[in-house]
Amino acid sequence: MLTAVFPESAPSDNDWARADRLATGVRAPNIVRDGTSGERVFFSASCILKPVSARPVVRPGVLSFRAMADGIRISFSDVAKRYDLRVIFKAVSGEAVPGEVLVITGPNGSGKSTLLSILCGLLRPTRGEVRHLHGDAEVAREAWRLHLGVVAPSMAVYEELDAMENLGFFARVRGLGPCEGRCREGLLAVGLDPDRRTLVRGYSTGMAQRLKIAQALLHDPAVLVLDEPGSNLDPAGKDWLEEHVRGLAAAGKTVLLATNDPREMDWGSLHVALAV
Amino acid sequence: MWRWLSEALAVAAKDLRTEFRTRVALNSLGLFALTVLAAVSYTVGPYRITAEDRPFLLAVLLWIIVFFAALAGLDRSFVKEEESHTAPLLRLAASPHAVWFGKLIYNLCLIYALMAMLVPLYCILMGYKIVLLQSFVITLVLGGYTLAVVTTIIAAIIARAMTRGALFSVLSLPLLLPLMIFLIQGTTGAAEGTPETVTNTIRAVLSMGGIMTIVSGALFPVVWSD
Repeated sequence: MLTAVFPESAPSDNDWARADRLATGVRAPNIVRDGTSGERVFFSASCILKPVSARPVVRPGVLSFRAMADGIRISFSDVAKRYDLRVIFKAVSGEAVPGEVLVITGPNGSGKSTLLSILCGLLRPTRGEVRHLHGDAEVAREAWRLHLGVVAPSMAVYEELDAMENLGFFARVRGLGPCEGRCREGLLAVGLDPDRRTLVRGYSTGMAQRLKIAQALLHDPAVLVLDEPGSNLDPAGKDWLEEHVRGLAAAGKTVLLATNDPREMDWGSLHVALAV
Repeated sequence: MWRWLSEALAVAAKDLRTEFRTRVALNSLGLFALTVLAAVSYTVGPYRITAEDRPFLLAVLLWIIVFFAALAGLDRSFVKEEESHTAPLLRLAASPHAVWFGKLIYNLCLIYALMAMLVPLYCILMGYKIVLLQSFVITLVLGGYTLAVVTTIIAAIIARAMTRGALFSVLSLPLLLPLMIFLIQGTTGAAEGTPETVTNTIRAVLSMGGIMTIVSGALFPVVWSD
């Protein structure tokens, strides 16, 4: 089922036209316009009206769109991590759902990045369970990597390649094939020049961060994991990132965000707080 | 199948491209091989070994140079990924088998490039005459392949360890020693012109290479992901 959430004002004809275009793009052309009640308007391709239960992540004046059927949930319960005798965290539970930003906060050393690594599938928890669910079915491990985009300080791109070569490589290993156009668009979206052939080792930390973001978004992942994504970005970059992440969440992506930045904490309504 | 192969080729192409830009492994392999070759050719030379000992002793020296040059540089493929913090992203983006096969192709390119440079030079400088040239080339190709398979999986294992330098040699030697013995026998047979010895060697190395390929392919996802 497709559900569109409009801004709090009544939708204009323009909004309806955009919704039609979006719905056509996801192969659900038979939109039934139903209701213009109050602050939100719902419509459904299957004629079943279903209010969005979670708090809407909608920016004023921005049309958001949810393809709930395509969403992947990450459900984790009683997750604990310990390195030898050092306990990083114990019994953390929660769920990241499509259309929401799950914000993980906590002081330095509380295990935010470790928790994200566990939720990505890079680390095994000492105890507890992590499930990647598409509907009620588990996402296969091989398929999981194709649905996941990650930006983290501990994950670098290749310094001996330039930006286009980096994106081209990640596109090929993700099975996207040669897709120069998509790579160029990805770089332009994050404010990098695709024609600049400088190796990444010559980039500033902010530019390298932009490239990491472009890499994470390249394959249009259903799940986006962001570990302090705004670090090293200039104010304009942070503004762009905030708008983009909010837009992705509103489009039905599952977003996990680990941060201590008060502004970034505000991106999501679901919070997991870790303590030292 | 094609998609998997395409991913593996992407990994190999990326590694070769970064290697040509940094030349870390090429320098390690090439300089080690050339230095030892220069030392051996200067001290031993073509005429200090008697004619009857020459096929065997020169085969020993050749494979010692190739093996230790390989140990000096082939671990870089995985160690570099860990040291530059690119391994986690590669782990998330690419399938483990594609990474393994891509790294294997990369190591094969390095080892064959080393052999292409070293072996003719060695034969000229040491006056090493090969009677069965075709068998000699087959022995080199199969030996290089098995060497690359063994070093690729061991490099993956040691890349995540804290004490990498010593561990690579320590873990490699027990696996490479039988291979080295077979290859020395085969090379001696090719130099002496005894086809039976070479055939037996080719069979043994082929079996070893096949077994190591299957074991490495099965083991790699565990080593890489966990």
